Amino acid sequence: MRHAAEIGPRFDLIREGDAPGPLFVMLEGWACRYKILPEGTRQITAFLMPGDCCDLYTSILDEMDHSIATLTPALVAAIPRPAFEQLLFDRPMLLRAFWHMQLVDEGILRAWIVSMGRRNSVQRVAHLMCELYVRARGIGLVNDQHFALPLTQTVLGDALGLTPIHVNRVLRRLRLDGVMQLRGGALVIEDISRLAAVAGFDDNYLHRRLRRAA
Amino acid sequence: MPNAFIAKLTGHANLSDQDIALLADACGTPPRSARDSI
Repeated sequence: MRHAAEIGPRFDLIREGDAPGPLFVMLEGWACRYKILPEGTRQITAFLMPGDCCDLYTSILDEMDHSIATLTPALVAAIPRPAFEQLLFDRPMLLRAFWHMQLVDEGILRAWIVSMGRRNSVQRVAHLMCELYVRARGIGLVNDQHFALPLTQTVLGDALGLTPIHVNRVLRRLRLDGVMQLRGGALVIEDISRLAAVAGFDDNYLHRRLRRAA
Repeated sequence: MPNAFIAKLTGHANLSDQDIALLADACGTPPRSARDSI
C-alpha cells in the first residue's frame, strides 16, 4: 500500500497476537501502544504523535506482544515490510535515521518506567506534559506555548498508572498553581520552567541533537 | 498538511533530497509536501 488512509478514532491498527504487519506511519492524529491485562484494565505504553512510526523492526518477530490503536481520527500510511526493508538496505542515511528514531523511542520508554516507579503523581503528570510539549514542538505543532492535546483524563490515567479522578486532581493543582492547564482539548503551558522543575524534566532522552544544530 | 514523519526523520539524520523523495513516495504523500515540511 502506498496510500495513506483516513482512520477513525479508537481503531486497532494491529492487535496483540497478530502477525506483524506493515510499518504504520502516523501522518496525522494520535495513537497509542497498549496492553490489556487479564482483569481487563489497560496500560498505555506509548503515545504516537504525527510523524511517529509503529514498531520499526517487529517483522522479525512471530507475533505482536502489544496492540496499537488510534486515539483520534488519523491519517496513517502503511509501508509494506519488503519496501521498507529495501529502503533501509539502499539508503544508509535512512537506516541511520530509523535507528535513531528507535533509540529515542526506547529512551522514552525508559523515562516512562522511571516516572511510574519513582515519581509521584504530580511529577508524573508534569513530566509527561513536558515530554509531549517538546515532542510536539519538534514537529511544529506548538503555537505560542499551547498545542492540541486530544487525550482524555482516562487515557492519561491509563498511561500514567493513575485513576481518572486522580489525574483530574493533579491537573487541577497544576492549573491553580499557574503552571499549565488542559483547556478545550489543548495543553496550555503557563510557565514551562516551573513545569519542568516540578517534573524534574531533562529532555536528554529525546536526543534532539540534529534539530538543535539546524 | 506538512509531513510530520519526514520532518521528524530529518531531525534524526542528514537526509538527502533523494532520501526524502523516497520516504514521501513510500508514505503515499507528494514529494513537494514532504519538501515543504522541512
